Amino acid sequence: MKHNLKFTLLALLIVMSVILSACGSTPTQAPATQAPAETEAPTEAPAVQTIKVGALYPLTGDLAKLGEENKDGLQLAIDEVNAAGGITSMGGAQIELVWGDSQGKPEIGISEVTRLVEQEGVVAIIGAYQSGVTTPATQEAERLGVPFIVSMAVSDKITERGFKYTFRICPKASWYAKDQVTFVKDLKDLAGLDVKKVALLHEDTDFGESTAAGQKKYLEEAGIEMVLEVKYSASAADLTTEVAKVKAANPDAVLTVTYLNDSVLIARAREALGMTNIPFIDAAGGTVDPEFIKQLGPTAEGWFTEIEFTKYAAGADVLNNAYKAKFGDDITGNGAYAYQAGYVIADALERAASTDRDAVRDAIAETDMPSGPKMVLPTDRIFFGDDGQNPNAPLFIVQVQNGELIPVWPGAYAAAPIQLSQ
Amino acid sequence: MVFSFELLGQALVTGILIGGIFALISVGLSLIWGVMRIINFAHGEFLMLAMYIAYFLVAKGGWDPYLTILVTAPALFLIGVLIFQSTIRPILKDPPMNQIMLTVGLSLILQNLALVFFKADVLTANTAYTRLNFFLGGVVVRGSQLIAFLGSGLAAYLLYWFLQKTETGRAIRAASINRDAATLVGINVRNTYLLAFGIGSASLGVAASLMIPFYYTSPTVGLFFGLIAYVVVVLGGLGNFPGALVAGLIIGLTESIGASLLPGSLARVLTFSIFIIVLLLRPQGIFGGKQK
Amino acid sequence: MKTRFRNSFILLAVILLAAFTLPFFAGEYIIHIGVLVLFYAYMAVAWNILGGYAGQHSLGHALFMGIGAYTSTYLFTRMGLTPWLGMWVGGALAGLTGWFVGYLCFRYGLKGPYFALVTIAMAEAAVYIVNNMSAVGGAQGLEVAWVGREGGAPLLMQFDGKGGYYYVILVMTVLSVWLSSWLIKRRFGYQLVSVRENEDAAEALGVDTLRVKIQASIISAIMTALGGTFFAQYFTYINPRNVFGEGPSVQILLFAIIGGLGTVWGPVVGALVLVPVAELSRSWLGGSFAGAHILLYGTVMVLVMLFMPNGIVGLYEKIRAQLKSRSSNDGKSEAS
Repeated sequence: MKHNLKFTLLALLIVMSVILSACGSTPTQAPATQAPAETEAPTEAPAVQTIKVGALYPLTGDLAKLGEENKDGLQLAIDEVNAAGGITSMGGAQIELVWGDSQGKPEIGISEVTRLVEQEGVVAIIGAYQSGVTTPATQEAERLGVPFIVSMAVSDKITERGFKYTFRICPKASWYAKDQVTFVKDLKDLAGLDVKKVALLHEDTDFGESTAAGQKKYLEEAGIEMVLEVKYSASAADLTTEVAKVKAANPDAVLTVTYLNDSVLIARAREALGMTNIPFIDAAGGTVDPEFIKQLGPTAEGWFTEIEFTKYAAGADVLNNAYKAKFGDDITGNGAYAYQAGYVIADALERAASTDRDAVRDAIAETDMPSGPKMVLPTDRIFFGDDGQNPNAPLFIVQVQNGELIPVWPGAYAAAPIQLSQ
Repeated sequence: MVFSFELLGQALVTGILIGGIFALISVGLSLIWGVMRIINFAHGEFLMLAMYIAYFLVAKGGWDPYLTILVTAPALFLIGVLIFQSTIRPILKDPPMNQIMLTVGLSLILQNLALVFFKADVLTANTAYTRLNFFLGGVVVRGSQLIAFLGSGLAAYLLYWFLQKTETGRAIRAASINRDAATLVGINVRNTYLLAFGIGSASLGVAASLMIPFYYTSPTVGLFFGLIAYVVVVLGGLGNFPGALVAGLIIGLTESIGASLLPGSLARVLTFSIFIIVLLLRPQGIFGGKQK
Repeated sequence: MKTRFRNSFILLAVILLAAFTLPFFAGEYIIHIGVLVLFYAYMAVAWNILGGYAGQHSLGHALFMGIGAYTSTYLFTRMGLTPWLGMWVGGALAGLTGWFVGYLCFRYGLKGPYFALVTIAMAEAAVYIVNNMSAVGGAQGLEVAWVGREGGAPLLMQFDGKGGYYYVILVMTVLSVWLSSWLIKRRFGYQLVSVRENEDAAEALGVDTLRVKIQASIISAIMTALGGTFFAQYFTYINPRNVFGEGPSVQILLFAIIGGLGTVWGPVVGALVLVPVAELSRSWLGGSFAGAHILLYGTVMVLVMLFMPNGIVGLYEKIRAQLKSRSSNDGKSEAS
């Protein structure tokens, strides 16, 4: 009995190794398929190459919706690059995106980085939306020597570890917190509201915690008192009590960090409790989702939120219209930054004229993208500091006014005055 | 530390209203678990399906949310019956672990079917009742939650009445107490199980319609409510309906008052602690008599 | 009989040789899948001692995994203690917790689904508690910093490339299978199985069922915690949800159940079959069709439970028994 069981085991092992080696037979080193060019006669023009670029986002699981925003934005950019003739320095090579699904889990994210690099042979990876996944995924990429462009993932420490292969386009969590606090201070001049006491209300995962840590630091620097911090689990059945707790602390303004599902519950509780006279300022969480306004209607009115991209900025409507035509919604910050990441990698490949990962890494490090058709962020240039962080990642603060996210801060981009209800 | 009687009052009101919903979600599980001794780990996912049905009727069809019960309850009954016949019935006599794993597998399937068909969007419906609020002193009462609370009580009572007073109900109870004896006195246990599973699922249809005016739906919305349902059922005692009602209120109040008094998100720990202590000391539930 | 024993010995040697030489001819991704297979096989073997042998189905084994992962990682990142030592501190803490959980549950006579529910609740409570413990990073979790560059830092359980990790988890898995097969042949093993099959009868025969179950709980907890340390070192990042949550809890026992509950080889077979399927299905279906690969995963679970309730090893034994009875009915002598 036992003896035969082991035979089965061996058979299984053989079957598994056959399957595995079948998958292993795809090229593991050469990032681009250059075989045709070598076998053809040298006089022929080389066949158009395909350059594989990995993209890692949470495509399933709780955050799949947000992963999709990233995916759509990135795909739009790469489609444009390919349609415009691909990478000309490599004979019009086309970029092929290879998708990795982190499922929102760190360990799956690492598995996918390994697969994209070893199995698919990608030249670089773009990702990964969540800090919890991006932190270990960039470490894995560093070990494997693959450039990793962080389109969105805000935890400060991601670019503070001295990594050579990690580049981040989006802002850090502390910059969100800093701008929220600056805005709160500016409310005095802009709307005549002198904020002395602030309450924090945030969800309890990495996103909420790391942003809240920054909020506390900058509030203290600004000399504004934090009267209360309320943490909640985003899956809660109801948040009326949590919001009532905020009300009881009687703050002049509330800083929130949310996902979409909990921001809906908070907005309804805020209205029900008659707190619409207190400004709620979100850190680019669930409130920037087009669904927030679409589904809540009048309940969403008056909310403030930070946002990485606004269609009201000069030149931004081109991207927004292209995105809207294809996917039906306004593009979000996630989508815009993923879109931008697509152009950053295309630009680096163009200059590197090579699919060698170190050459691509060096090209990314030397990125200096001026404002122009390839640049959708409202800044004069994108470049990466020695730590791999793009220092030019401006944030806006928008307010829901008549069902639209209208920029109200900073002053240069304000499209309408701030409205505070009494 | 913030404290005021207004806040405590708010926590009490919210806790009781939400507790009523917890109770309704749990009675279905209690019925299924009590009758066939199977923990349906896909219970939360059944609720999720029902919420999608209710949402689409309200948001796309313009239905009154409470009218959708006419669709959600029969639909869930049907889904429950189909799933029971195809997957649960064949494993009724298998070891408990296999039953658990099968229903865990079912929950994965349902969750990801929803993801494939409905995408990961969080969907909320704006209904005529959504913004209906009134104040009692300084405490706000959410109209939609009050209706849901009353509806839950009524639905649970009707189910209780059905089980106590009708012939079919008595057959279900008999089968849950002693399968063999029930067969001996001529009860068709097969049909009884089917009916119990269908009714247990249908109650989720009612819960979903009651919740849609103030809650959202998404493919993973069932995870949390499923977990809460196990807690409530254990607390109230298997198959014990009045017990489930009181237990639902206790858990609703625990979460709500815990949130108002405890720092961080520790209220949930309180819920689980109550659960563990009850399981250890009184596995028959706080209201159950001494059994097994 | 003798040749059969020798044959199986040779077979085992071949499997071990294949496993030990894999990194020499496979690429990094294949080695990575190998690490995943071995890791989940190891965890399933550990779970199987309490869940399979003793029949006490824990649905919250991530509790022990989390204790192991957090203890060694905390000691490593905050105090510089090598995980090779830290893993034993974590193991000891988990062993204590295993004793506590076992004592509480079995002392009060919790069985079957009730035991399963308590273990879920304990692991779930741990998620929220650790989430609110700023000393261990709260929700932000802990990151294992990569200290070595060239050649890694083997003394700190960090390796350059996947090969080093592969050998660590391979040795752990081999040892765990050995321990598991040794245990089941001892008096202790028979006592465990007697508790599972009929607790009252075991009690009547003089088995101290409470003590036996608690011992199984402790052994299982320690082994799971050691695996937790490996998880943290290999994936370099842990947070409350991904080591204490319901995800790992379900995964740990999934392989044991699908492979074959209560058998020595079931957990290993389960991981060997299922992990590559999960990995490959993600690369084939992922991205293009959100959710489809987990759908496949759930479907496999349901089908296995419906059609092979004793898992792969159970199905194999059933087929063998049927073949055997058919061939003896034919009056033929059995070959080999």
